[in-house]
Formats: sequence, structure tokens, C-alpha cells
Amino acid sequence: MRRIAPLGLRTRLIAAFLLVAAISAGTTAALTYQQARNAILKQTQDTAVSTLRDQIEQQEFRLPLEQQELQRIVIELGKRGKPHPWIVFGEYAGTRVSTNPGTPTSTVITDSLRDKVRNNQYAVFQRVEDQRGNPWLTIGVPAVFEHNGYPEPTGVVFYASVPLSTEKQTVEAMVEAAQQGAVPGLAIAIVPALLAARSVLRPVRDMRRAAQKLGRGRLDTRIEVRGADELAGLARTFNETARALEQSVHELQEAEVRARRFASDVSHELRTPLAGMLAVTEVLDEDAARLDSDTAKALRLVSAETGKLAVLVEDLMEISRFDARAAELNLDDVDIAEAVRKTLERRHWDDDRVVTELPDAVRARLDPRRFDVVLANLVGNALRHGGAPVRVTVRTAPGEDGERLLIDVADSGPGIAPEVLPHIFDRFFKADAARTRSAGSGLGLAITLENVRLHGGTLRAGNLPGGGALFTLDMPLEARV
Amino acid sequence: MTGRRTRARAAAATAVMTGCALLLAGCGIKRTGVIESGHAAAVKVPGGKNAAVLYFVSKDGDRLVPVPFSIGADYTLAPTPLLRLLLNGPIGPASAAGLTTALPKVPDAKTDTVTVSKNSQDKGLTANVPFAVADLSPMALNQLVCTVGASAVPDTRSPVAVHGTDTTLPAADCRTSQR
Repeated sequence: MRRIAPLGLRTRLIAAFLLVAAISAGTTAALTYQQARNAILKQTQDTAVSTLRDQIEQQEFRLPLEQQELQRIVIELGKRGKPHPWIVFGEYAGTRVSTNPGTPTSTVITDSLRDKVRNNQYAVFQRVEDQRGNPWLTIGVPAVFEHNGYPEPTGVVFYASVPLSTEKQTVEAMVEAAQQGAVPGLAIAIVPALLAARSVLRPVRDMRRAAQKLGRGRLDTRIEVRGADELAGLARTFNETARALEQSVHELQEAEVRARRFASDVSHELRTPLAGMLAVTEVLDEDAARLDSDTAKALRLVSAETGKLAVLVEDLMEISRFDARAAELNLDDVDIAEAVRKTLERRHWDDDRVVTELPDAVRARLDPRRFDVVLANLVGNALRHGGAPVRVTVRTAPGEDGERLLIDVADSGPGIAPEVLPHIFDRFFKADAARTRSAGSGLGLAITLENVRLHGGTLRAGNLPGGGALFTLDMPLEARV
Repeated sequence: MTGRRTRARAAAATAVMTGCALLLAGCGIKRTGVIESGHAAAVKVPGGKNAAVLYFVSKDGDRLVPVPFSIGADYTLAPTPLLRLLLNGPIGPASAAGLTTALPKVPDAKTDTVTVSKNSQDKGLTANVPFAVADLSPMALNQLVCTVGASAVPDTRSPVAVHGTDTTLPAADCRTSQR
């Protein structure tokens, strides 16, 4: 079953306000109405009962009462109805008369009223409805006379039926007035409801915007704190949280900057002495042939390691530049096939160890030096860790924003172990844990990835179905700075 | 959580419904039961204050109706003539109004045996009548008790025992209505 969509805060607030207003207006109206109605009815009843009693007491009775006498008294009483004209019925010793000679008995006077008034010595009344649903007030008053100091029932009982149509109209008018008063009351209640909703919704909206800005990295976002209610407290907490977040991010950034600057400084400092050492080892290398074999061996080792150190320092400096975002693209229009061929030639990989599949006349806009580094790293890596033959395939494909340049470098080695795959581009990550000293600096693939990213591309590593690692370079054919 | 919320909503809905029902039920003019409202109407009956009162049976036969009998403002009728008048039955206006008597007619020869005597033990009275009283209807018995008890002694209502040819009924109080 689908749940009903949750209503907005504004709708709920207005609904609650209207509900409260409706309940209070309804309760007040109902209580007032009931009091007023009861007062009106009570007054009518009391007036009617006391009027009938007073009128009877003014009559003179000659017992036993003859029918003509009873008829005369009834007609006399019938003329004096208060507060409304009434119909009077008289009953004596089995004789019944009324102000209407044709109908001596009433249709609205109940048997229970007759029984009560005939067997007791007090006046009674009852509100009833006739067949049409109109309300009537029926009254019964027995006549007593004093005999030997005791009130003695004469056996004469008078009834009156009073239509309550006037009271009914008054009561209906009151209901109508209550209904008509409630609608404008509810309409007025909407105004404070809207104001209350606004006072709640505005801080909530501000806070949502601030949270969105914070999420986009604007850590200096703050909310204006208004008032001293719970929402203001929430805004204050938000501000404190944002400030704490900004501070810790700032500290982290500073620490990272310090670490990078240290690596950069170290490599810079190493570079000058290394240059001198390289020059010396080259000279010594040339003279090695004239030295005895042990010394020559040691000398060549020193020379080779110094060369590796120089490469490492160069790589460190390169990656420091990337970290400092100081790396720049020097874009140029290049024939891809030509560029690939030149890279392989320069590394002396133009024999059958590397097989190429190059399209003709594909021109790309890229940084030739960085492209050379990328390709050389990928092919060199494949030759070193995989195995010949290495297959280099260059192709283009349509992408979302223009043509893409796709270069696959596949080797014929055992492939990359699955547990290694996620870390293949990490710095100083050694795929073979046993071989701590590899030919490379350990930064080759990291630098390659940074270069590809600089061009706005991606580099993926994976395995071919038939064995062998596959690196796929995917970058725009037209790189932009 | 969801259950609690559902229950709270149900309670609120019930409250609102009850409120609406109360408001609707309070509208209009409702019928009532029979409600007492003050004393009866006290009327003046000519000579009624001191007059002797005879009780006869109404046309419907379900109650006794008082009929004042006066021979002048300064005179009061003794209990024995009063009882004899009652046993004679309604005459004149009382008969014209349709009143009847439930008592048997006493022949003129036996009129002397109709008397009212004071009880020796208590304040009560005894009505002596020349017919069997064991099988008298309650209405007839009440006619005797009320007529004698209400008028014999001024400003009091006395219990009345009835002594007939067969037995004496214990003293009773007047009840004009059969219910």
C-alpha cells in the first residue's frame, strides 16, 4: 500500500491552526447556544405554567361542575394564553371539553402527562413533537380547593398545549448565526497560521541552503541567528559545527601542504649534489676499464645507482609539481601515429617486442612531452612486469563531449593479481612484495595517471581474458587547458 | 513508532467525531419527559371551606369526585346525617354531572341503623351500615372512608373503620384515586 505523501510544514501548521480555531469556535458556539436555548425554553415554560395556574385560580367553581360550566371556564382560559395563544382542555369526572368544540381531546398531550397530573397535586409540563415534527409545550394543572385545612382535589384538571414554533425559529436563527460567525473566524485564523508558518519555515529554508553550500565545499558558510528560540539554537549549533569543520579541514590541508613542500624541497636539495655526482661517475665510468676488475665493478654499481637516484629525484619533483598543481599543459597539434612511433624509437623499442596498430592521419591536440612520458611508462611497465610482445592499439571513438582518443597497451605476461588491481596506481606500490628493489622508481604509474588526468582523461587497468595486463588510456582528442 | 502514531491519529479522529456528534445532538428543541412545575391551582369553591363533602364515583368509574354539601355558612353537618346523605346517592347537580355511587341503596326503613360512632381506643371513627361490607368494592369502601373521615372532625382527617352486617373492616385512610 502506498503511504500518503507527507504534507509540508506550512500545510500542517495551517491545518492545526484551523483545527484549533474550529474546535474553540464550535465549543463556544455550542455552549452559548445551549445556554441561550435552555433559557428561552425555560422562560416560555415558566410563563405558560404560571399563567395557566393564575388564570384557573381566578375562576369560581361550583362543584359538582356541569359540562356547560366547564366549557365556559375552558373558553375563558383559552382567551388568555401567554406567552403564545394556546389551546385549553378541561377534564372533570369523565367529561372532556376544549376550546375547539369539535375536538375535546388533544393529539399532543400524552397519557403519562394525564396520569401524572390526575393522580398528584402539582402542575406538570412536557415538551413533545406532533406528527409533523413541530415542537409543542403541553401543560397540566389540577384544581384543588381547601377543605378542612387540607387541599382537596376538585377532580377538575386543565391542560394547555402551546406551539413552540416561535422558539423553534429563534433557536434555528441562533444556529445559523453561529455557522455564519464560524466561517469568517476560520478565515481570520489563517492569517496567524501563515505568520507562524513563515516564522518557522524561513529559518528552516535558510538552514537548508547553508547546508547545501557547506556540502559544495563552502566551509565559511554561516547562518544569521535571529531570536532565542529552538530554531535559533539550531542555527547556532550549525554555525559552531561549520566552524569546527572548517578549522579541521584547514589544519589537514596545511599538514598536507607541509608534507608536499617537504618532499619537493628534499628533491630540490638532492638534485644539485646528484648532478655533481652524476658528472663524476660518468668520468669514472669511462676510466673503469683501466682499473682492476673489483674496483671497476664497484664503480659501475655506484654509477648505476646514482643514475637511478637521479631518476627517482626527477620523478619526485614531477609528482610534487602535480601535487602543487604547478604542472602545466603545453598543447600542440600532433599526429598520433607519428608521436607513438617517435616514443618507441627513442626508447629503442622499435623491434618486434612491441607491436603497434596505428590509424593514419589522426591528429590530436595534447602536450607531446607528457604524452611521451605516459606512453613510455605504460610500454616500459608492460615490458618490465609483463612480457613481450606488447601490443599498442590506438583508436578514436565518439564521446559525450567530442571525439575520444583510446590507447590500449596489452602485454603477454601473467596479468595483474586481483588483490593488486585497486592499488596499481598508488605511489611506491610494489606489485611483487618479494622484489623490493625494482628497476623503476615506484612512481611511474602514479605520474602517468596524473599526466592523463591533466589532459582530462582516465586510465584503467585490467586483465585480458586470455591472460596479460591491459591498460586503457581514454582522453579527449582535443585536450583543453 | 508507526503503531503509536496510528493510535494517536485514531484517538484524535474519535475525539473530533465525538465533538461533532455532541454539537449535532444539541441542536433543535428536544422532547422531554413529564416534569413537575410548581403547585396545583387553588380555586375557591363557594362554601367549600366549611362544607361537608360527599364523595361520589366519576363517570369513568376510576376515581372519587368531591361534592360539597352546605346547609349554610354557620352550620356544619354531623357525621351521621352526612353518611345518610351519601348512602342516598347523587341527586340534583351531582347526578346531572354524571356522578354515580358504588354503594348499595339503603331502604328507608333501615335508615336509622346508619350511624357514625367514635372509636373508644383511638381517635378513629366507625361507620355502621346495614349491609354486608366484606364484598364491597374498594371504590365503595373509599366513598365511606373519605366522606366520614374528611368531614366528621374539623381540621383533621380521621381513619375510619366500617362495621357492616357481617364484619368490621379495620380503620383505613381516604384515597380518592385508585392508583
